[in-house]
Amino acid sequence: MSAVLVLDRVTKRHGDGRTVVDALVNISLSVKPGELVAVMGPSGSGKSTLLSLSGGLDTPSEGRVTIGDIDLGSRSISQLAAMRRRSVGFVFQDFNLVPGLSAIENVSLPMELDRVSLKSARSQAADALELVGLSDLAKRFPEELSGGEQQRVAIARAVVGERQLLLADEPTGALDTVTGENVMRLLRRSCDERKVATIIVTHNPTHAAWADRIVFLRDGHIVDQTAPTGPDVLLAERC
Amino acid sequence: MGRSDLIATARVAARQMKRHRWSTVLLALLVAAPVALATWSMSLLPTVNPTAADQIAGQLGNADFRMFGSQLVVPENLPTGSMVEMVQFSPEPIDVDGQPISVIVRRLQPDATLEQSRSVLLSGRWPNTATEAAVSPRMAKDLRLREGASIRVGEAARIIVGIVRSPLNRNGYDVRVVEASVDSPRSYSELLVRLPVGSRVEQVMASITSGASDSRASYAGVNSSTNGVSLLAELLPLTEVVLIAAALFTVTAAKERRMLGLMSAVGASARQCALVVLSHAALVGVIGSALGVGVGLAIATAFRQWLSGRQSFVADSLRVPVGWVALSVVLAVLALVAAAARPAIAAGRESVAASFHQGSRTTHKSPTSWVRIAIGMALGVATLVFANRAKDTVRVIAILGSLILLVVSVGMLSERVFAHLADRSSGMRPSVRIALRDLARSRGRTGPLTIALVAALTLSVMMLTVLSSSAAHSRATYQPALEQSQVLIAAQSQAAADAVAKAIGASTAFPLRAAFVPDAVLTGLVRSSSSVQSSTAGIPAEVYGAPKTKNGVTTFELGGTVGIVRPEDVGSYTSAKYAANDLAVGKAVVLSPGLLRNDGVVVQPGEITIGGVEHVGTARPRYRAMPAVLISPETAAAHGLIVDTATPLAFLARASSPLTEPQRQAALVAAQPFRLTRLDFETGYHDKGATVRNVLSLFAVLFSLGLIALITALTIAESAKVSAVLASIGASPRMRRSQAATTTGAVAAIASVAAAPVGVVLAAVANEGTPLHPPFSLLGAMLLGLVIVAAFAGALFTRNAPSVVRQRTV
Repeated sequence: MSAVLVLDRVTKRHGDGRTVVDALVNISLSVKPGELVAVMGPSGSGKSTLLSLSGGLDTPSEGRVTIGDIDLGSRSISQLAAMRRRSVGFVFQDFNLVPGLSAIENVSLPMELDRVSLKSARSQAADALELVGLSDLAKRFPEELSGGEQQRVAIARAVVGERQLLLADEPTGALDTVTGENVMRLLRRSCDERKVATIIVTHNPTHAAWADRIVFLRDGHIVDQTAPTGPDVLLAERC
Repeated sequence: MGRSDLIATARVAARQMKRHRWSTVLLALLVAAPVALATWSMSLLPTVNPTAADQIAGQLGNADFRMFGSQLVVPENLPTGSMVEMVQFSPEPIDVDGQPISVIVRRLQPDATLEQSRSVLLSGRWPNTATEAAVSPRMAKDLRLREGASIRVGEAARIIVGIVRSPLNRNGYDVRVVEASVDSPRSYSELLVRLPVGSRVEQVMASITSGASDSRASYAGVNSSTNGVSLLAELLPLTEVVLIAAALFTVTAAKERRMLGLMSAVGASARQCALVVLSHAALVGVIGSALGVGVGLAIATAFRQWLSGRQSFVADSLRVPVGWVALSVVLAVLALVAAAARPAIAAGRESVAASFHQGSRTTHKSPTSWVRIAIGMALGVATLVFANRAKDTVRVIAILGSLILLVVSVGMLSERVFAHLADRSSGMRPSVRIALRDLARSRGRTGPLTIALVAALTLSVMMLTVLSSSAAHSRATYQPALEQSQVLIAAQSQAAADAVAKAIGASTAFPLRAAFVPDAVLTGLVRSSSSVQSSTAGIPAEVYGAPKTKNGVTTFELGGTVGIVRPEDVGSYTSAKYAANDLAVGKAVVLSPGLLRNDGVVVQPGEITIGGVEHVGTARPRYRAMPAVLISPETAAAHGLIVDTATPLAFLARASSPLTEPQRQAALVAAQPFRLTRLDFETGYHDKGATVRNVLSLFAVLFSLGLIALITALTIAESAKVSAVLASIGASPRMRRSQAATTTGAVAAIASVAAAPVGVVLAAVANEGTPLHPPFSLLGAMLLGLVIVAAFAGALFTRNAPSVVRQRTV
């Protein structure tokens, strides 16, 4: 099975001259369909940069990023945007729903932007909301939802349609334990049922334990990749 | 509240300033601008104007009033014992050792016609020739001028031969010179008049002229009024700053919500939390004001130096009215604190739990209620109605008050419009829907910015409408009068006038004479005209204007000089068939048709009177370029008009074709031997105010454009997060630009739609009944153009590359 996402010797530098900082150094990583990869590491290790590069929100200083057969470096900004609409979903710690739009409007937005008919977009958005168990709250606005509900809407938005890749930056960081566990269960289910390749950045070993593989980053380098064991072991040995 | 917690809140506020440094810098610059304007004008105006104020005081000296008139007629109508001196207020530069100074030049008459003068020779002798001069004791002392010293008056150097004290001089500067020749002892000139003790000044002035009393009233308090105007000039832009600042503080306080929650969590009271936001505003206000004062003083200094270098200008050393400048600073700081008041109160009320909540604070609660909007509108309209009935300063203040009330109400109405549009945006394109929803929900930001824009555009529309109406009014008034080439010859001798007339090919010079019309006589006709009040005393009708209707009463400003017709002049003034007999028998007032047909208004015989003299008909003067009110001497005498029929005020010669340059030169050469005080060429209607109007119009457009740019930048900056989220879910650059363009374009569109009618209505009131001529094409182009510019700028400011969504930091 070919990888959905491939990072091939990717380096990312910020700043220039004396202030240059290597956020990522010579990183290689591939993620297969249905695989859930957790990225862990201390602050400043390059986790969020890894996600930005993977989703085409940023470009690498060196190396190559491909999603499916598409080399992101060869694509224009508009083409990258189109790719994000169709193939990539983002989930953030702060949920980042568009404030003025209701839950169903937020979920259907990527498809509406892709010129899918409003009826079809809303129908698929309703399905996605059902998947995350929020059908009843479809017409609510973000500020009328709890943190966990907002994050579930964000996940619905990230997996709606035919997404191949889901990138989640600390999706459980602002949630309580139970809600966080529910979100992880949801992400795991979307990987298993819809074969969505997923990368989540997390500090929580318990949540990382839901992954198929855990990648440890430190100072921009991948220091280890492993299958999860128990959270306690992870904490003791890796962090 | 103790000192330590004040310091603590100030420290937190300083940290806020650092965190939001760009908005802090922007606010400081915005505050600095009006303070700099006020400081500049307050410092500079007393430098150039005071001398105007000082000059006025110096010119008046111990005189009771100043007027323009014939030396023969005016003294005859003054109480016995009055002192009269002829003065000339230095139309040409006078300098001592190359340093220009402001002085009064009093001319001595060789034939000593001004016997009322009581000047005393203190030392030396009286000047006898055109190369000699005498100066006042104060001037001699201050400038160390002794007999034999030289000063320059205009082109000529004069030797000081004596020190002369005038009883009408109150310890000021005087230069007394001798004119080599004067056309006639009947010359018209500026006269200083001092009445004998016990005279009722107002009564005497009223009996001589309708304008003198107002001239005299203008002498007092020049300095304080200019400072007041400067302060007013500061308030207008400051109002704009307050609105923009209110939006910025709302945004800043929302961003700092978590920090304020942390403060509450560690025990800060609601008052202390509010104080953090207020301290932030006060600190920015102080920094901005200090910057403004510095910049204002620097510009004033540079400007003064530039003025000093100009030959015809007198600029004293810079005088900074510290109290007034301090007042302007206090106003600026208070204005900024007021702008932060609402976000500060909200910050104080914020619960700790809510501040840590992830959702946005702004919810879909209702915008401003209809009741509030209706009350605001009603108050605005009521103030406008009051302004329409008020006069002078009260009127201006009422118009400004009305402007503020209407603009704020319209701004609040715009909230409802956005909310309405947002509610109905479900089926709209995503970019439009997101833009409208964002505008509707971000009322704390959008509301003040929209109001600021409405205020700016309303002012621009108002200014452009007033300017356009003024131009149309001027054209309607002057064009008929000046449609033909003519020369106005300010000579008092027929010989001089004939010489000039001959030079331009005119057969004769048409005499104009002045009437001194007692104030009461003209009541109801020209008294309400401000032009009369500011016109030269003694010629109350030398004003122009079209009929104005206010409160159902039509008043006229006379479009020409009051001419007194002697029987022998009748043929020159009227067509052959007109009732010359009416004039001859002294029962008719004749108005030229051009005067009465301005703006399509035709006055029928019997509808108006002048001085109780009935208007019985309309004549077409042979020289229709100068519409005039014609009254026979008998009529004038019968109605108590003080008439100097013997002395022509000036002559008018009309050429049969447009004047050529050789003709103009010939006229100048012909006039040279007669020492004419004035020789005006009119070669058709020229819109003399066009340049000023164009500059002001350009300023209005640029001001609106500047504000549009600022508001666009702020709007885009504040919706950056939405743009970043959109980018992350695959919104193309085009779509994000479209969303940004819709956001800024919608604000500009709402503001334009609101500003157009409010501006025109305010202009109608400000114009005081003058027919309104809104420049529809210009206004349409400007308002539509601004919407397009705002939308285009919104799209332009949106980055092509997607922004990375930043995670929350504490």
